[in-house]
Amino acid sequence: MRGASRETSKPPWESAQRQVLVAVEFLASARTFTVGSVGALLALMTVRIVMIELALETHRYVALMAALLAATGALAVVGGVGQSLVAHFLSGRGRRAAAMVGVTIVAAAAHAVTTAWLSVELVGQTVAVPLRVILIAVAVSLAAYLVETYRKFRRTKSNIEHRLRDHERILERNRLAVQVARGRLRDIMDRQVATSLREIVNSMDSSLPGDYRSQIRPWAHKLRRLAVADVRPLSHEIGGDRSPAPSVIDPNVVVNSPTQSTAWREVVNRVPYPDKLAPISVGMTVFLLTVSHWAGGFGGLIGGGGQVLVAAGVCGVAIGLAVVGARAVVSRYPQSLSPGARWFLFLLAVAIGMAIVSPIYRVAVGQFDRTWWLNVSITMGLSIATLLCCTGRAIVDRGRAALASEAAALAAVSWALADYEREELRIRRTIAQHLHGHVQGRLSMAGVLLSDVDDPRASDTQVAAAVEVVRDSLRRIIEDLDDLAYLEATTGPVDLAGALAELRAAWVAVCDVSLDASPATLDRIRANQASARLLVDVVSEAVTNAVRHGAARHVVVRLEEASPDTIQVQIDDDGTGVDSAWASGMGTRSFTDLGLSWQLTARPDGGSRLSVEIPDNRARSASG
Amino acid sequence: MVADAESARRALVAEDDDFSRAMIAAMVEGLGFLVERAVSGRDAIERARDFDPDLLVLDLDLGPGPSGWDVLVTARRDMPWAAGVILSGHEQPQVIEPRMAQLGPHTAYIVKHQIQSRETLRAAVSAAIEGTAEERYSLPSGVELSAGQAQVLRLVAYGWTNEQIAVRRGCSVRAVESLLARLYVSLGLREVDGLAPRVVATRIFHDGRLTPPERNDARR
Repeated sequence: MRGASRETSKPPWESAQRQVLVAVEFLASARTFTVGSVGALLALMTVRIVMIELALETHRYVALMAALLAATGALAVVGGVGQSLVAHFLSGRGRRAAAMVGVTIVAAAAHAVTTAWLSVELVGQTVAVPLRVILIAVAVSLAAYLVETYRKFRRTKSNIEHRLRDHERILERNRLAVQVARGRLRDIMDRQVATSLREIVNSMDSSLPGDYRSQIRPWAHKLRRLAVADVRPLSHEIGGDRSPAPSVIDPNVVVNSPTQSTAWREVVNRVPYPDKLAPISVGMTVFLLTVSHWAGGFGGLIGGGGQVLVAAGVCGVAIGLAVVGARAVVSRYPQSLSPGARWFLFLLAVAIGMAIVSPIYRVAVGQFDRTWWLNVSITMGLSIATLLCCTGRAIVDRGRAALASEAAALAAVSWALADYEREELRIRRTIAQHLHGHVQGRLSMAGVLLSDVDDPRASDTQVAAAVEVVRDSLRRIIEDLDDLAYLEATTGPVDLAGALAELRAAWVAVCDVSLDASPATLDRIRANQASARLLVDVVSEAVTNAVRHGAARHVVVRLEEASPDTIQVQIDDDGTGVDSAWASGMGTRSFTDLGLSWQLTARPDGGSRLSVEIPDNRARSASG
Repeated sequence: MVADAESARRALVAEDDDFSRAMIAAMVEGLGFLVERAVSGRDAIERARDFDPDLLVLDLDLGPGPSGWDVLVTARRDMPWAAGVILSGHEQPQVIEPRMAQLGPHTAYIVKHQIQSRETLRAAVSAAIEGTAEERYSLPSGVELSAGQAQVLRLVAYGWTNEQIAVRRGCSVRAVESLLARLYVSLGLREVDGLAPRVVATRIFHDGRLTPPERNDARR
């Protein structure tokens, strides 16, 4: 016996499902690692080999390329599998990332060995793969990982933004639709009921007392027909199932809105940080790389004094640029950088400066060559990648904040939508009940009163008195209908304590209703009009059901803060348990209509327990 | 006897809509009852306790709180002899009140818009009241009482004096005294002085539960 699709305790397969999803997600980004690293390796190897081949003027690189492609493909698979296994078995982002890097290095090293062997076999000489190329691969794959993360962010953010715009549009459309629908309701009540009543009243006004006797039967007949043929179906139509008035509201939004903001919050939390190890390792690599080739480049300098001066001057400029650049970067993302990261940023900026300046120097002293320039470009690229990694944290944080605020805005709109529809439903129910209970009843009674004096034995005074009474009551019904048609959405603030006390008092002789809730919980509900109204509705309905279906004599209502978004209302009674009518949905349909999640169980020691979750977003304002 | 004496017929009318209440009360008065009006379920239950009605004419929907059926069930815990007439606009009341699938004895149901005239109500009231005087009720101890004795026991338990009971039943005080004497004998109480058996009888009423002997379903 369950409503909506929420359960109070999750089944085991749901958490396993979630773990699998997380693993798959990580796998997807891990694949980027592997593809990135191996792809980079391949590209570098190709370029290097092509250049060597061109230098050697042989054309056997095609065969080597083919062989390398095959080797790469195989190792990509191995690397991917390795990383998947790592993702599955290792917990903790630090360890996982380090292991990923390790796997990549192993894959790259294996690739290097294979390459060396293949090149010896096919081309007759080793095409050496220095350590730095392996580390280059690591850097590129990490950068690719970061880019992937950022793209995911952007996707999620734009997704949320779209939904937000959609919901705002829907809310606006609903407001208009509701105005239109209310106008239609007023029209219908006026046309179908009030007009006929006015006709009868007019006919009574314009008849002379002497004519009353002849008019009584047709009046009584009209009143009775009005009650049965007009008012009754109208009340069913108005109060009936999920009436079409706010037809544009997406029912999923309403039903799921309590969970919506939680889901979005999960998304925001799930977007991962680039790990600490990544920027540090890449930063070190690039630094050493640059220093090593820079040192090599300076090998020929030791001789000339003037060149040393030029070199020193160039270095100075480079370092100056690097410091300026570093400060600019650091000041942009001050909060999210740890001191260690800042140092590496600084060193990185220095390395970039050198990487820019040294080719200029080389050209100046006439020692420029293409392979060397290629290495330098790679270094620059890597430096930028490392920079991205180091500042990646800042990007992620800002992205997360933006996502969170978007998600909050979306949640707020969803809440507003849900509240709005519930309010509308409540109004329709009130109108339908009034029509069914009071209007229909009064009209029937008026008909009976007239039929009573439709008797030759009745005196003229009795007849006149009866007509007078009926006319008065018809006028009152017309007035009531007018008031009803203009029933506004919020009818004043809800006095929670008062309403609950009234409820308890109303049932006192039949069933004892007691409330068990902490003052903090009650305050929280009180602060939110929509929740307070909902709570009173839910408790009232629940008590009625417990008495009606379980013949309960004692009902205990417990309130608990189930989550930041919901309050759980638990109603225990000492009745005869859950009868078939109750189990089949009688009495609980109103909870489902209001989009509330509920559960009805028989208690082992007799009686029943009804649990209903009331949405209550703390972030909403007190005016509801 | 409970429902025969003209002056002793009492009815409680509960209806939350004032116009309908006035109408129905007037009709029931026209049938010869002394009518007490109630505006809600709780009001009806409280008034019934002191008014001691023979008949309950109740609208099913009495607003938030107990329904007319709840009132009938609750009142009958104390006064199982009370006849009940339930009114509502629903043709199938068990759709909203599943316990009404089985109305049980001495209970009638009228659909408001099917009331053609006073006659409809009169017929329902007669059908409900018929036979209430002949019912017998048993206490948990197994003692059987007539409807009249059970009613008087209840009045005693609620502190009515013999004079008040005499007015209620439209008979003399002496008749009441002799009925009480016979009642105490049935209950196995010795009449040494007038007071003590009264107290014991009160306790017997409040402790026990009067049920009609042939209906053994545990109606709470």
